[in-house]
Formats: sequence, C-alpha cells, structure tokens
Amino acid sequence: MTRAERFERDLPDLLADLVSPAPPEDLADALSAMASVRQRPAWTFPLRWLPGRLEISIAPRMSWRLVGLLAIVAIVLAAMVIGALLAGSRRQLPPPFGPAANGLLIYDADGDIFTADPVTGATHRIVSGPDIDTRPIWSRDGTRFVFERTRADARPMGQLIVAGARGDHLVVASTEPLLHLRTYGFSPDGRSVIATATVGFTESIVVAPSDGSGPTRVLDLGGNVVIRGDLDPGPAYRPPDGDEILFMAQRSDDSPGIYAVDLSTGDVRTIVRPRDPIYLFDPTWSPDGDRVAYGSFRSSDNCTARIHLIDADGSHDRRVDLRTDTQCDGLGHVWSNDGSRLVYSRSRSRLGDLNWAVVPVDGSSSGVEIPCPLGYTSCWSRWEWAPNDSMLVGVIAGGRVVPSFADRGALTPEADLMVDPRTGVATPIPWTTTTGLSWQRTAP
Amino acid sequence: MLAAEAFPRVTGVAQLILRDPELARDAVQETLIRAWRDLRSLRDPSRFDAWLHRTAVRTCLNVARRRRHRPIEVELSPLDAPGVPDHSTRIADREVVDAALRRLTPEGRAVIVLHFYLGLSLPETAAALGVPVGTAKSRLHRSLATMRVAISVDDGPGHAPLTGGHVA
Repeated sequence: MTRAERFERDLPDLLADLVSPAPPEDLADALSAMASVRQRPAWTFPLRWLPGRLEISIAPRMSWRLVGLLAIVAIVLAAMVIGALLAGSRRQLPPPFGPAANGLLIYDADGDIFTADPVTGATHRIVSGPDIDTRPIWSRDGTRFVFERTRADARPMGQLIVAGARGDHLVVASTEPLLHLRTYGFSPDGRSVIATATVGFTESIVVAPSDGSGPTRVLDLGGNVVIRGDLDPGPAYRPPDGDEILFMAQRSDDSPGIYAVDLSTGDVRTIVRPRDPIYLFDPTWSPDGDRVAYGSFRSSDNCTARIHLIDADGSHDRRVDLRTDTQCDGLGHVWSNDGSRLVYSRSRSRLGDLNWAVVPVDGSSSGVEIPCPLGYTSCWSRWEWAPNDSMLVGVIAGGRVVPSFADRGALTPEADLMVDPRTGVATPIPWTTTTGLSWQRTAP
Repeated sequence: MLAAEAFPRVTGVAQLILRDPELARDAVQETLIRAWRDLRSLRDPSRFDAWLHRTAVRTCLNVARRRRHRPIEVELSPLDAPGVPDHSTRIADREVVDAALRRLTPEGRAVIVLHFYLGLSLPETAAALGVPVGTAKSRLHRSLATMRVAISVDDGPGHAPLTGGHVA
C-alpha cells in the first residue's frame, strides 16, 4: 500500500489529529458575544410559515463577473427609463424659427387679453382689470406673451408687460412708461423685448429685459438716425441667432433706408439704400435669416407699391409678384414659417381696391388669390400664419387702406377670418378682436 | 448547552478549513452567533447538526474570502497529542496532511472537511456547501487528487518541515 493510499484511508483520523482543542476561554468569549445578540423572531423566516416542506433546488451559482455585468446593464436600463421619464415630464419647446405645432391664439378685446382655441373656438379671458391691455404677442417658444398696458388717464404712455402663457406671473418689462409704443416683440431666446417708441422727440428702438430685471435702454444707432416705420414683430431679430436688428431709418435729409445693426458691435450696415422719391416700408427677415422682404412705392403715384426680395447682404434685389396686371402689391406682407411663401394685399386697379394673395417667393407662380369678402369694398389685414403654415388668420379692416400694422389700432375691425392658404377659402371665426392675433408656437 | 456541545466540532471545522488559528477563532465565534440569532429558522430540531455544519462552513468560507489576501500565521500544535500509537509516523503524517491541505483552496478544504472529518455523505456535503451534488463530487475528486500529488511528492526521502504559508 502506498503512502497516498494509506493517507486516504486514514484521512478522517489525520484530519482529527490536525485539530487543536480550543481553550475554554474561547467558548466563554463566544457565549458572551451570543448573549449580546437577540434572536430573530420565527416569523421573519419564510420557510417557517410557508406551508409544507420545501425542496429547494440549488441553481448554479453565477460568477461575480456575470453579476457585475448584469448590475451594469440594470443601471444603464434604469438610467434610460429615468431619462425618458424626465424628458417626458419636461415640456418640449419649439425652435424659435421655422414651422412648429399650433397652439392657442391670443388677442385683445375690450381692454383685456383672451386666448382662443382655434380648433374648438373656446375663448378665455386670461388678463383683465381696469387698465387697457392690448396687442399681445407670443414669445418664440410660446411660453410667454408681451402686451402693452396703458391707463385710461395716461395715454399715450404705455408699458410692456410680460406674462406667462396662462396670463400669470405678470412682469413689467419696461421699467418706465414709454411714449407712443408701436411694434414690439421678443428676442429669439426670449430674454429681452424690443420695441419702437418715442424717446425724447424721436422714434427710437428700445430694449428691455423680459423679466424686468434691468433698465430699458435705447439702442445706440449713431448720430442723426431717426427710426422710421415699424419693426417687424415677427421678429426684428435676424434668425437664427438674433445677432442683428432690422430697421428702417432716415439719416439727415435722405429718405428712409433699410439697415441692420449688429447687437454685439453696434455697427450699422445698409441693406437697401434710400431711393428718393421711392419710399421703402416694412422690412422683414426671412425665417432662415438669409433674405429680407420689403415694400416700396412712389409717393407721387396713386398706388405703385411693390414687394421686393433682397439677400441679407444687400445684393440680388428682385420683385416677388409676377403678375403684370396689378398696380399695387406687398402691403402688410408676412412670411410663412417655412419661408416659402408670403401673404400680402394687392390691388389690380387702384388704391382702395385690395385683395389678398399668397405668393411663393421662388417665383414659381403668381400665387393664390383670396378675394375680399362680399360687402367689403376694400380689404386689408395683418395676417398671422399658423405655426404649421396650414392656415392664415387675420382681421379685416374694410374700406380704408392702412399702410402699417400699428396704425390699425385706431380702426374698428369688421370681421375676423381664417383662410386656407392653399385654396383661398375663408371662414369667419367666432370671436372678435380689437387689434390683432398672435398664434402660439408649440413643440412639433 | 447546544453551543457548548457544538463548540469542539465547529472549532475543528474552522481550523481545518481556514488553517489559521486567529481566523478560526473569529469564524467559530461568528458561527455560534449566527446559529443563535437564526436558531428559530430551524423547523426540524433533528437536523440541527447539518444546519450548524452548513452555517459553520459558509461562515468559514466568508471569513476566508474576506481575508484572502492576508498572509496567515501557522501555529504549531503540540506534538505530543494523546493516544497516538506510533508517535513518529503520526507526526510525519500530520505534517504531510497539513501540507496537502494548504495546497487546496478554502472551498476544496471545505469539501474534504465535510466529507472526511464530519463524515457527511456527498448529498449532505453538497447541501452544506450550497452546490449541486455533481459539483460537490467533482470538487471532492479534484481536492483529493491535489492532496495525493502533494503526498506523492512528500513520499520521497525526507521532506522539509512546514514553517508557514499563504492561503491559496
């Protein structure tokens, strides 16, 4: 018998020989430690109260590496779920320019601010009170709106008020009352509000933080510059970054030209030079910021207004409307959100005989004519595109040509319309506004 | 009373598996405390021994894993153990077994201890280790083979005395 065989036979005894008797004090120490520990109640052991005898099959034990891998996978999955939940709970915002989903319409009536659901027609008064609140305009992300507030005994001094989408959290953005507030709107990031108002004795561009945190300041455009005409409320900031402001101004004795001021450097550049006796009006940025649409007319003529398109660097000036039988076009033009079309008023014969047209800017057609509703001798409207460009909404001012948006505040509107821009079919809307509509942009 | 009766067996299991007197003392104390704390989980009093052995083995393996990287000390036992007929041969065998045991992992020593020292059957050994019977069987076979190799090496003329080592 080899030693190994003998060893295996004697292994139990050999193992017993290796064991040294433990000293009695070790037992005493163990008993002392046991005395300090409470026994777990029987009910805390599932096998004690589960009926019957459980035969537990023993599963192969997983390696720690596998356990770790599974733990990492579980953590990643949990992070993805939490991220999805957080993203779902956080409201998505639309881009500041380009098409977006349709939200609520906002308008003023009787000195208060209302919202209207364009689908159901339901309206809600969201800002009210003794003051006169007018001309609400949504921010580019649709989370807030700005409006003008005047006191009946303090006109024409007004203040710019910024409110949350539900008419809550009202903030006075302009730190002091402004004289003759004309057009205004939000910056693309919503941090500031820009407006034209009379400061001293001249028309000026003023900028105010939208949260009311700072003073209202006058935009420095250099000497001998007087603002003429309105800023584009939709908006005057150049898309997509808002680094320039588009405006019309008059220097010295020239007629007005179209300019842009760089907000970071203060440099003013010319986009369309003054062309006396041609009068320029309503410059607007295209939604991509690459082009400017503007109108021009000869002041000595009855109606020779024409709409033009020019590249943002001041080159490649061209007419938009291809029709040769019109005397007048381009009044009150507004870009579609995708930048492919313009809606404006045009006349075939004489001033005062206006219809509407939706015209592609690429010159592919003369566009869709929207006839003036029966009973109106002349139609003018400041149109508002639906954020997804599917509809147009406008307020008709009949019987009088209004060359600028702000002047319409003095008119009494006679009808509000919703128009399909592809067919020109118009439908009356069931609410009546005072000075116009703004359509809320929401996330697609 | 139960603790006093179980104390020598649990001590033996701990010493054989851990091969370190300090670790063995810790494991014994931890085993008895666990057994006392969880005593009411035992539904069948006749299975107390098997239950205690399982608790002891698992505690020893946990202690070994916690101290895996710590060098161990070898406490030389008194050589004049009582009741040993052939004194010199017995001492030599003890050293050989000790050396062979040290070549095993704690898990390998546990299966040897359960089967040969406590006399458990293979299914009982597997249950005490919490592994399938097949795993216990192969682990026992592998451990015995390792020990046989160790003993064959030491079967030659003379062998060096053990003075220390590390847990495998």
